[in-house]
Amino acid sequence: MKRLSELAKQRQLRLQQKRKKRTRKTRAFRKFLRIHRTPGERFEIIIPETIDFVSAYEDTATLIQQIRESVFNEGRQVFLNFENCKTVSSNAALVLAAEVERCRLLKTWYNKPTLTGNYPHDKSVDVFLTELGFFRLLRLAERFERVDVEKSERFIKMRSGTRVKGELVEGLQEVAFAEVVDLENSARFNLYRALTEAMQNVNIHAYDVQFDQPFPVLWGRWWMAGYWNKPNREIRAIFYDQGVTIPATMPIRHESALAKMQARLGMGASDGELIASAMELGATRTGKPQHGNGMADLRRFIDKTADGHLQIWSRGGEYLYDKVSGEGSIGAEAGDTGLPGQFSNHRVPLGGTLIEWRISDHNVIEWTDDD
Amino acid sequence: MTIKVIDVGNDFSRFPGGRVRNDGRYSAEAFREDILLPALRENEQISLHLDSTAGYGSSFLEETFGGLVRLHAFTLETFKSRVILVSDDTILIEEILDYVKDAEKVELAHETSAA
Repeated sequence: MKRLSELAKQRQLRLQQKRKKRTRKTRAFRKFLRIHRTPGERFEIIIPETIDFVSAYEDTATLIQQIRESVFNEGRQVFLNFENCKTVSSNAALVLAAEVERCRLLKTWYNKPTLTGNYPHDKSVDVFLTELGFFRLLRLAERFERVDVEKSERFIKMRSGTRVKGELVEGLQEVAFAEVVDLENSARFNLYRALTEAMQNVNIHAYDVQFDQPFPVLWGRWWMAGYWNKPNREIRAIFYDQGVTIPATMPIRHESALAKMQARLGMGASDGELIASAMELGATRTGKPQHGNGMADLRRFIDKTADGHLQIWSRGGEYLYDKVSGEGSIGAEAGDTGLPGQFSNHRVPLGGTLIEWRISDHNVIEWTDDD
Repeated sequence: MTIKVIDVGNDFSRFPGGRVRNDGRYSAEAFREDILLPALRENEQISLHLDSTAGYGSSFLEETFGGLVRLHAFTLETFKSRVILVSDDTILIEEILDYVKDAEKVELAHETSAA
């Protein structure tokens, strides 16, 4: 047997030590995985029977908050149990879809998706969420083929993007409304104005680095949906962003104008009052005198109809502007400020800003089955 | 007198929106700097046809026309004499003129306080 040289012995020794070290590291890592990884375990969130920011705000906002905290703060894999869900409104559907998209894009759970779920027992909810594209976001197979739109009672389509994309507004109107509803020209024009201004507001104000975000965000992103309901003879446009909110940004740049308005009208600084103030000041966060008409554009779409309303939820505040009555139907806290619209406040913040326009004016909407 | 016709929907975009280029592809800044101003430099009058788009946000209108005052020293008088607004929507035309008027007021106020 050839005697190994000293150099060769040392080389052999070094290689043995390296192998031992690698094996020790691998063993330690596997031990870590055994302790911390529970591949079969998931955190189940039961979706309430009704999710709707109008009729069940607390339950719906709590659900959204619970999803965020479980995924981002607690690092869990979450299972959304839809079995008992019987009613999903258009506004809740959009916010839920946006939340699912955020969680899936920004967080993984040991290289697996953080969010998964099952299908609702209620077929109408299943179909509704399928049309929204919700199950695709959850990476679940859709159980229904494309819905026969003319036979449906309600329908929704969603689009998402960043910056101002007017072509998506037109596209959404075509996809969401065209088969059953004809919008009168000026209504289409005003809806385009409202939605592009909402996109503009998001691009300028919503995702500002000087404000801390409690959860990671998809920077600059907004979601919008078009919805109709035949039995109710109404159409809705819904717009949502996960930004820093109107109550957070309003006081920063318009401190003196806001203070004067609050003093004049006896208003406080609750979230609902700040949204109402923003609508009236037509204020923007940039503080430049040429800015400030964007908020007025949001209400214009409703002002030009005979029957409609605008509802805004931002952080913990809610604002309602109802064209028919000129009043709101919410909030014991709505004060007698002399302002059009009403406001109220909620314990659970929405996280972001949600805007919903609803119109039922027959002079502006013509249903194709009215012929 | 040379009159150049600009149709916003066909010569720029059916989907205008946003103030500055960072806001989007078909912003007011892009329209004003790339289409409107070059036409105003080369022609005595512009006939601006407004009805071929899907709509206009107030931000787009204010930045386009108020921006002519703020950045290019237009006055309301100059604007009215050089730009003919063509639209079936008279309210839209009034709105545009209001933006020019308001921008002029702000510029005059700045000049007064600077002096």
